[in-house]
Amino acid sequence: MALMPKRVKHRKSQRGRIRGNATRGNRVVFGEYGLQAMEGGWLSAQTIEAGRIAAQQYVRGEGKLYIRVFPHRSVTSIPLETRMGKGKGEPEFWAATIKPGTVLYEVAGITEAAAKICFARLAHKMPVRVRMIKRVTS
Amino acid sequence: MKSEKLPVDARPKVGSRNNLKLRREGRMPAVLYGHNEPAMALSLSYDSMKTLLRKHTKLVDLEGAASGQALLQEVTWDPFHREVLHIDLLRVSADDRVQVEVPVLLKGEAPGHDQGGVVEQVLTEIEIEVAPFDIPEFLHVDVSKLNLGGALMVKDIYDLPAGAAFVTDADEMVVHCVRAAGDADIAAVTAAPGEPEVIGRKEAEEESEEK
Repeated sequence: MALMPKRVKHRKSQRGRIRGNATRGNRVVFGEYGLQAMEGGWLSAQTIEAGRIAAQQYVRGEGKLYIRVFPHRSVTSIPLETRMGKGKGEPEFWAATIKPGTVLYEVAGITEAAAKICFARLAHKMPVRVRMIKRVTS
Repeated sequence: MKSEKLPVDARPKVGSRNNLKLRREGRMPAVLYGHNEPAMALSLSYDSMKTLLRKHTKLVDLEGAASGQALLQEVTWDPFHREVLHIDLLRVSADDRVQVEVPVLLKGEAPGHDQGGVVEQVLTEIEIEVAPFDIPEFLHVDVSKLNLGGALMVKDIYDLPAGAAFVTDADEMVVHCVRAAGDADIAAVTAAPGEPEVIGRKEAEEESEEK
């Protein structure tokens, strides 16, 4: 099932602007390799789920996949052929706000070559430009 | 750990604008502090710093505007981890004891992998207290006896230098072997998603809205 918050303070949110780069969540912390967004955007819950399935099918039985983003934001829309006015539309889907530099997914327990193939499958489903990064030790 | 030479210059102009100019010239800002002496703003060559970081160097011999030995206390990277923005240097001497984070590497092949498990390293760096000249480059934990469902703790690290002590809890887990995800975990559940509960909303409000 696509991800969604259990409890929210407000059903609808304003659209906002994505400014600056990610200053947190921009390092590989759980796995050995990560998929980092190179541009900002919204990642819908369906897209996160599609990416998870694409990657999980590849790492099955060998590695472990981590999802580092969660769709906290509700995105509303108004039906087609509706007259202007009558207020804000109803929540249509849930999305994660992605800043450039955010790590979206991580994998552990597989080789670098396998991680590369896994993320290539995953990257095709992403609406933002991404790149593969390695964990950095101090 | 072997120390490397690091030439440094004094940095009379401080602040983000001046640091930006410095970086354009192929240098980077740094600060030296410790031993109850006043902090010193320094600049150093970007290339020499990159070389040190590639070698996992932690201890440096300062030359030029400052002298003595210093520990690379903190390295600030840009959000994409491409360029080093700033370095914190801590003055150290032979009789000091410092707390540093050292990467932990796994050694050997875990039998749990053949039993259908995934070896998951939970802790990749641990903090130890050690003399600055005894800082190890890596610490190792032997996974050659790690079976499915098993775990190894910080205390199982076998190559801690003499005189060093763990700052990280010795009973904290470093690595464990867990069962890999099965088909059931992969398949998407197609149950219709509901709406999340709205905090603070009363039932009466919801009913009136529905009407």
